[in-house]
Amino acid sequence: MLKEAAFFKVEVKGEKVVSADMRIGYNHRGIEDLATKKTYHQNIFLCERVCGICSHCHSTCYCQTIEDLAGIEAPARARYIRTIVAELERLHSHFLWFGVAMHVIGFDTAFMHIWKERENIMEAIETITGKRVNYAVNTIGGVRRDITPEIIPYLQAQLIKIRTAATKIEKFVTEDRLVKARTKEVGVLDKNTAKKMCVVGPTVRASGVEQDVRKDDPYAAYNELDWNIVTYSEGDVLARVLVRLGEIFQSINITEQALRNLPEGEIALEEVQEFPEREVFDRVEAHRGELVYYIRSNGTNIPERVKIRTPSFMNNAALPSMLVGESIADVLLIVASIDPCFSCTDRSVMVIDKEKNRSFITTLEKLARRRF
Amino acid sequence: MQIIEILFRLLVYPGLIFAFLIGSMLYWLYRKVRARFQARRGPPWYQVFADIIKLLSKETIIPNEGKFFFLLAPVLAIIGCLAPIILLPIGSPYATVSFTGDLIVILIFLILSNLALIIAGINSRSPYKTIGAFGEASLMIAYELPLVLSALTAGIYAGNLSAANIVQTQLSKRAFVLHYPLATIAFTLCMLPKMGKRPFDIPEAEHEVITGPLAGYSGALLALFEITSAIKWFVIPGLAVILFFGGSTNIIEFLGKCIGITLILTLIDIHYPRFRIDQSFKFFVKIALPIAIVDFVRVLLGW
Repeated sequence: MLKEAAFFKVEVKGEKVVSADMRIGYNHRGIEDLATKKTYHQNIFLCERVCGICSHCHSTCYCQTIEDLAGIEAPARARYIRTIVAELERLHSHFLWFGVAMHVIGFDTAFMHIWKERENIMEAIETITGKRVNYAVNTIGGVRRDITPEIIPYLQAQLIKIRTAATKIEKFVTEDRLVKARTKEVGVLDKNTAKKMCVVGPTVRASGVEQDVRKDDPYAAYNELDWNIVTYSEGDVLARVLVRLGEIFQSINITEQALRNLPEGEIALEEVQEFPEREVFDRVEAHRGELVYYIRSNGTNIPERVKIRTPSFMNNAALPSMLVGESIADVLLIVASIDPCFSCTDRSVMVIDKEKNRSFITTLEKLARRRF
Repeated sequence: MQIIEILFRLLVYPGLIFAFLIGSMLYWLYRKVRARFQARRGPPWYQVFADIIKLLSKETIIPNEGKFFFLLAPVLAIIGCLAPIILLPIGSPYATVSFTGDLIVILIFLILSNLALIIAGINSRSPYKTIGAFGEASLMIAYELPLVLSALTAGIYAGNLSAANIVQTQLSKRAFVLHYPLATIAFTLCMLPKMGKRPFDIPEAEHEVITGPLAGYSGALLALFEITSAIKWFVIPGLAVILFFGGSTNIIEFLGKCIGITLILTLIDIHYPRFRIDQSFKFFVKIALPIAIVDFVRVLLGW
C-alpha cells in the first residue's frame, strides 16, 4: 500500500477497513551497529545519513549528545546557525509533506505548485550550507560553516517568498471544500489514545496535546526566541494538516528572528579529544516529532553503544488504530498524514484466505499471475 | 462496394486511424495544458506515439490462467470505442450507417469499453485490480443513468433516437445546449468518469490501487489500452458535440468544437482533487441525476 518499506496488512470488507496491522524492519541498515565501529567524529556524517529529509536533526541531536558527554556547550552563534538550518529544513520537510498529501488525494495541480515553491527553501539552504541534502553543517562543539553578512538579505528575501507561498497554501486548505471533504473526520486519533501510544510531533499536537521538545527541553537557540506551539484538538487528518500549516508560519518567524538577532562570535570550539566514560541521552524536535539519541562511551574515541529512536517509530504504532473503520481510499491518506519516514522499497503482499485459514507471502507480480 | 466503403470508414476515416490521430492530439492537448497549469513543461506532441511504439517493442506477459478474459478485455475496450464511430455523423450531418435508435447502440458500445475494465480487473486475484474494478462498477451505476437520460433528452426532442437526425435537427433549429443547458451540464459531468478523469478517476487512482484494472498488463495488450484511451478522447467529446453542441457541417468545425470540450474537461480535471467512491456516488445521485431528470421531464412535456 505504500512506496516505502513498511508493510500494512489491511483487512477490508467491501470498502471498509475492519482490521489493520503493520510490520517494520524491512530496511534494517545496521546503522546503530556501524556507529559502534567508527570514531565520534566520523559518526557525525553517519548519523546525518540516517534520513535524507531530517539529516540536520540527526546530526544536531548526535552532536548535542556528544557535547553533553564531553561537558561542553556550543557557542551562541553556532546555536543560532543550527536553529536557522533546522527551521529551514522543517520548512522544506513540511512543504514536501504538503505536496505528497495533495498528491495522495489526487490534487496534482497543488502538488506541483507546492514543490515549485519548495525550491525557494532548498535554494536558501544551499546558499547557507552548499548542499541540498546532508548539509554537513554540524560538528562537535559548533558548526562548520558561518552565515556571512552578505547572504542575510538574500535569505530574508527568500523567507518573504516562502511566506507568500504558505499564505497561498493556507487559503486553499482552509477554503477548498473538496480538500476538507477528503480530510475532515478521517483517521481520528483521540487525545487519550495518542497519549497511550506515546505519539509524538505534529501528530500528537493535532490530537490536542501540547508537546514540543523545543519548548519542553529547549536546545539550540529556541528558548531565546519568541514562538508558540501549534495545537488542534480534533485529531483528524485535517487537524494534522492545520498543525503543519501553523508550524510553517512559526518556522518562518523563528528563522527571521534568528537571522535578525544572530550573535557575533566564534562558530565552533576547539576540537574535543577527551570522551569520559558515561551514558548520555539527548533529544531534539525533528519534523515528525521527538528524536532521541542515547550513547554509552567507554573512554575510548569509539562509542560503545548508539541507540537512535526516530519519531516515525512511535507514530507508526498508532496507525492501525487510526485505520480501522475507514474507507480503503483513505488508508494511504491516513498513513501519509503522520508523515511516515521509512527508507526503501518493498513489494511483498500477504494473502490471507480467511475462510480456509491459510496465508502466504508473495510478490505482487507473482500474485497477479496466480489463481487459486 | 458498400462493404468496402464501410470498412474504409471504420478503419481509416473517420475510424481507427483518423480517430487515433485526432484522439492522441486531443490527449496531448490535455496533458500539455495540464502541465502548463502545474508549472511543468509537458510532453512533446508525439508522446502518445512514442509510448505505443515502446510498448509494442516490449515483451507481452500473459498469465497462464484466466488467459481468455485477460486477452478479451483490451479487445472489447477497443471495439467498444471504435464501433460507435461508424454510427456518428462526424464532420457532416450524415453518418455512414444510420437507423432509428442508433443512439442506443452507440451508448451500449461505449458502456462496453468501460465494462472491459471491469472484466480486466475482476478476472485477477490481484487486490489492486479487483478493488479498481469494483470502483469502476460502482461508479458506472452512478453515472450511466444521468448520462443516458441526458442523451435521451436530445434524442426525444429530435423526435428520433438517431444521431444523424439529432444533428440535422440542431442544424435546422439551434444547438441543444441552448434548449437544454441542464442536460448538457449533466452529460459533461458524466464524461469525466467515462474517460477516467479527475475528480472521478477512482478506478485508476495511482495511489490507492496503483493503476487499477490495468495493473499486470504489458506490451502489446497495454498498447491496445493506450490506443483505446486516445480514441476515447475523440469519441466522447465528439458525442457531446453531436448531441448538444450543434454537430457540424464540416470536419474543421467539428474538430474545433472537440478542442473546446477537451479544454473544458481539462480545466475541471486540474482544479479538483479526487473524490472518494462514496462521495462521487453521492455527487452523481444528488446533483447530476436530478438536473438530468429536470430536462428529461421538460422534453417529455414538450417545453
